Amino acid sequence: MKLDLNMSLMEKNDAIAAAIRAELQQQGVYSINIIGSPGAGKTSLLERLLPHLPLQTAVIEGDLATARDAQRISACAVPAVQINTDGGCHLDAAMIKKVLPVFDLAKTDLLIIENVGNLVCPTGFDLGEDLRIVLLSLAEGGDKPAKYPATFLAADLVLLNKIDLAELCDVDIAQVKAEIAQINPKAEILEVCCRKNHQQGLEELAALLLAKINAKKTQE
Amino acid sequence: MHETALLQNLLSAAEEALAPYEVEKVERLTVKAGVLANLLPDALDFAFETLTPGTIFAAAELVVETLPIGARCLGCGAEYEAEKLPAACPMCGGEQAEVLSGTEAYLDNIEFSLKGESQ
Repeated sequence: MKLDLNMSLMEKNDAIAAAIRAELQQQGVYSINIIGSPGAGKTSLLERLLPHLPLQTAVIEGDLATARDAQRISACAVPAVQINTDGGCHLDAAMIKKVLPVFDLAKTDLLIIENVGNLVCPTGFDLGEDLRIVLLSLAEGGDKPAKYPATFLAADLVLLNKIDLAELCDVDIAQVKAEIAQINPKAEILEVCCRKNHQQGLEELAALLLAKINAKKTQE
Repeated sequence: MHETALLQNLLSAAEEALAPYEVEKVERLTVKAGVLANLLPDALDFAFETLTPGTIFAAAELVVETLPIGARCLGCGAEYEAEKLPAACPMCGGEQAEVLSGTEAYLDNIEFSLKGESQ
């Protein structure tokens, strides 16, 4: 006999993500999931962005190994917890749910989740976030949106990092933006640079995030 | 290799779905996956072969059917199917489209025989 199911492969993850979303909503916490390749500058982005955010922020760091990223965030005086996936290529909602009790959510405005460095696997895994950021560094090459369309399709906001390297890497920024728009016309795009002595676009990004957070609060 | 994690979910969901039945043999599991679901059929097959020995799925076949992208042109509003992104509108040539489907992945059906059922 044949049993018709139509059962999503993501069902289990999506159910946990929905529970996380409901809990964060209830506690008034806005949440962001950052996806990008290894070395794209995800942690550097946070180190430079956090000082511009007048919010109680908490950070979850995902990596295969080491607590180095969480240590870097803790050094910014922001509470951070490290998830080590021991070889796993992405964070899933169950991992987030497990570490959430570490934070005092009642006193938290913003939760930022830095996913495992990977431009493919994290894409299908909802972590209960309000906003998904895909961070692409121009040093990776401008062809990445076309090569990883599903990832860019799932982005609410695309950050083009290492914008100062565009010329050195022969990347045409306008072309990259056009290719992102072909895949995901709704995605917002911002240029940033997160070097210690050469920062760009971070105040603009902070203002954009604050506007989104306020817009969500007004909605409620 | 997130396919292994997803296949584990699939097998436990399938097992739950089969629990009310007196299953003799599971013949076939049919998965449908959009081309944007980031699911590699070969990796799913590999995970299936690795995870199923010794289970009720040991003798079953895994079939993965690929679904196209469904898109709506932001220019003229035409709805069309595509194999990849970006996908220009076949009606007006517009380059910006809203993706309606193609990221989904689901266990569509299970085929199996019941105990005492004639083959």
